Amino acid sequence: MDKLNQEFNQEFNQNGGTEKTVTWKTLGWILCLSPALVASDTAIHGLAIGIYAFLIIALSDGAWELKPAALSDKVKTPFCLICAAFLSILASLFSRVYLPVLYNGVGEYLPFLALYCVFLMTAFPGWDFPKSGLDLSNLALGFVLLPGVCGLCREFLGAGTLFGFEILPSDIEPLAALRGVPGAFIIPGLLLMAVNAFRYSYYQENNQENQENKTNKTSQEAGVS
Amino acid sequence: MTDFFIAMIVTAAVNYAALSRPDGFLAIRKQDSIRAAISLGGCVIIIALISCFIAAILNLCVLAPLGLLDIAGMILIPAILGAVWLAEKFFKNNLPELYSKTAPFWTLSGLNCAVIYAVLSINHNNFASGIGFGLLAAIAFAVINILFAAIMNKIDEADLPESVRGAPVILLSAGLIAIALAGLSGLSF
Repeated sequence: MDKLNQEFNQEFNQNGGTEKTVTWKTLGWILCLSPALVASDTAIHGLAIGIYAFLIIALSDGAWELKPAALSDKVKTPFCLICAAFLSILASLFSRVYLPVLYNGVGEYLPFLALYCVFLMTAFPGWDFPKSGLDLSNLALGFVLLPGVCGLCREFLGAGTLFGFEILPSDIEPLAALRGVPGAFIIPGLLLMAVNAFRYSYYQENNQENQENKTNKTSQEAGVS
Repeated sequence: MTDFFIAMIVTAAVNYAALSRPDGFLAIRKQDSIRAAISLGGCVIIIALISCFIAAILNLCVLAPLGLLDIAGMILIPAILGAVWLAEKFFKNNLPELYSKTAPFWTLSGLNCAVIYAVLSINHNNFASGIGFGLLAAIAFAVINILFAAIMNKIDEADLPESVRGAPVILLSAGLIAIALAGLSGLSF
């Protein structure tokens, strides 16, 4: 984890710590960890589990802000894990009572959400959730959208439906493996590839602009001298 | 003994415990070498044994008689985390050579195993099948992890496009391993 933190810090510093760097990194991390969400086999399950994860991470990070002053930063991970476990069990009980249809799909995996959330919280050093609007937008975007997109792709390719409505004609057989466990790896892998491609193109454009600016400046200076 | 045997077969081959479960994402973390994978696997086996033992005892003696199975996670996670922390201290003080080789993996695998094996083994009402499930899931996980480290060594040598390097290719190869293991899912008892 320390190594990953170092890499993150290096990249953050190299690119001037822009907001977009954090966004790309967040997107990448959430996509990396989305195999944890094997439950996101349909779009609705993906969105639901994303909303649960967002609420759990927000509330457990908020609880850390309200901690007694005697607690040191060393116990942040166990503290957040226990908070997240508590909240995930609450989410599980809530969905069992009020949303039984949803519970049949994702209920088994809700306890694992605690782990998923703690990984994401410990992966980023210096995240202050309630204080930063950027983190809020990133989290909301990542947690609710990306598992939803994964679920959408898996449902469409694996079952030929979207939100329960049949899209593909019955002549075409969908790839059942993508609805199952292999899809939980392959679809995020492909999405992450797309994100990386956008990310590299963004960096290259930025670098080219910087280099052009530098060359312009040097040529102007040379002209002046 | 029959329960243990069935738990072993089901865990190791049929339910593809290593990759179908969300702890599969521990395997997709990039390994430096096969040796690191072996030490991570050993770590996971030790922690899984501890956590399954505690989960099974708490399940049989406290949670099931009092009807608290619904909130098992809230009770088991702190208990198991405490036990893993104590085990880590024990290894650090008494077996420093072994600890130094596995040091980076304790927190990671402790976090994983504490949650995952506790939650999974709670479904087994029998003490033997609970422990058997956890132990053999850990062994299967270690085997998959070593296999994956070997694949990653090959991938590192390959010439890949920039955007595929790193996590995407790891995820795609994990998907292929999952497809291979899905072939075994027809075996059931």
